[in-house]
Amino acid sequence: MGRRIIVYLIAIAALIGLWEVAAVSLQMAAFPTPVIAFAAFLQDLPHGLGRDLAISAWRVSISIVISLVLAVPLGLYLGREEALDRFFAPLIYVTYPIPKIVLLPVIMAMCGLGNFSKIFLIALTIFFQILVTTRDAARQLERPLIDSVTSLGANKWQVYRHVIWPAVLPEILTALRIASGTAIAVLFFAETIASEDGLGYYLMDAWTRCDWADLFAGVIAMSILGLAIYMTLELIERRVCTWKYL
Amino acid sequence: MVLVEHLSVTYRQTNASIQALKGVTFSVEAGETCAIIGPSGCGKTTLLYVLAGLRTGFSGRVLINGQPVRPQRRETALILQDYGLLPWKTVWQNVILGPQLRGLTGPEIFKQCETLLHQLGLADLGHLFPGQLSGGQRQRVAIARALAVDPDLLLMDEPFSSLDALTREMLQDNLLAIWKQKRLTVVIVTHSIEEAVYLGRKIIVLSPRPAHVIAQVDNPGVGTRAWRKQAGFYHVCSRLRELLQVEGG
Repeated sequence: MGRRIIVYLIAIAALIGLWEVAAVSLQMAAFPTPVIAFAAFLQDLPHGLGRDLAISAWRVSISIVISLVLAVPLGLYLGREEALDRFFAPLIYVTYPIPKIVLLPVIMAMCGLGNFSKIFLIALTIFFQILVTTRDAARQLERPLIDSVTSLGANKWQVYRHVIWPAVLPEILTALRIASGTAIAVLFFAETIASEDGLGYYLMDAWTRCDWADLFAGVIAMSILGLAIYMTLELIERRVCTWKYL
Repeated sequence: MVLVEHLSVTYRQTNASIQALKGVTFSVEAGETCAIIGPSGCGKTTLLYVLAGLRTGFSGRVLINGQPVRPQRRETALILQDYGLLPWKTVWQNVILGPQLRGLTGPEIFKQCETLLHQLGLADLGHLFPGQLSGGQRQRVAIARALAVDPDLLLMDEPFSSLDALTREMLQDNLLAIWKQKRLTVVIVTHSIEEAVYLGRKIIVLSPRPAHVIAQVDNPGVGTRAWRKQAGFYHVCSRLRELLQVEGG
């Protein structure tokens, strides 16, 4: 674990180093050096930025939880129940490629400008990603694995609990890690439109003021949010899927 | 113990129906071992699935202990070739899975499972995952898990075919020892002539698909480790080879 943290730190240091080199050689106001950006970040953190970061983190987290709770059971069930899947699969395949983000105006018209419509949009976007991955993973499960547990006396519910769920879990977590990137992108978009808080609003506000240091402070906050979610998911995966990391 | 009469199974696929078994008839006495041998793809596994109650679409009569075969008969244990163990459960969790699924988690069950692990030389491996074991160890865990539900009928589908020769013989001896101790009825599906003759008190020879019984070979020499080296053993082996070659064409 300690070694992995060191590797992460080295990667972050290298990234900041590259940024420094690029900023110094470009000499543009819109591209400040890391020192200026981090100074603005630390200065703003207690005065609004921290609050916006917390609000955004809350919105993304709750969206991820909601989409998980809805998509995982449905995906597992569709993956294993062919009759139901035959009906729902075309529906999913038609709706999956529609970019949910274009529905933002509709969602805002129906659900208002508050938290609900932002969370709804993020959850809707990643719901489909998790649903499709879960369903496909559950479908690909080896039949004999289920047969051998059935022969031990497992009922349907026990097969889901002891075989299907643990088999699909690593793939769900991988899907979630990929989806977390999408979630933050959608969050940014949702928070820039008719919004009064969150990191998207903070960035938009800095941009209109042409305050590039503040803008980059917002970028740093967004990156920290993304990294935190990503690392949390990886930590969970290593915790609950020990058998994958032998 | 096991009575199979005129068993036929047909698989329906999208644009064809494949007959796997055609009028298979045989019986196995309680406490007897029976090896089922036939060319690969002949429907041996299908037959085992019917006996395990996992395949219910068939015609004919199949009785286990006088009762029509049904899914989830509690005293039947099944061991499949490669998929026996759940990779996300440790050895110990795999072995207690059967009792656990039946709601049995008392200390005497744990003790019984510990004894089983000990008997099969797995006592120190309880905390490992199947991915950390050798093929032979994994198959021993599969046997332990099957025995943990205290079966009277043990069904095995080519349990040792992916193992190297020495490990295979060791596990065959393990199985023989368990059979002698518990006197359970064992039905083992195999494509290995030597394995059939070493383990099967009765040997059922199946034809290529659609499978029917071409011969029932009585094999009374089974039961001692010395049997593998005796002249009678080789005699039965050549007889089986002839039977399989004639049918295989």
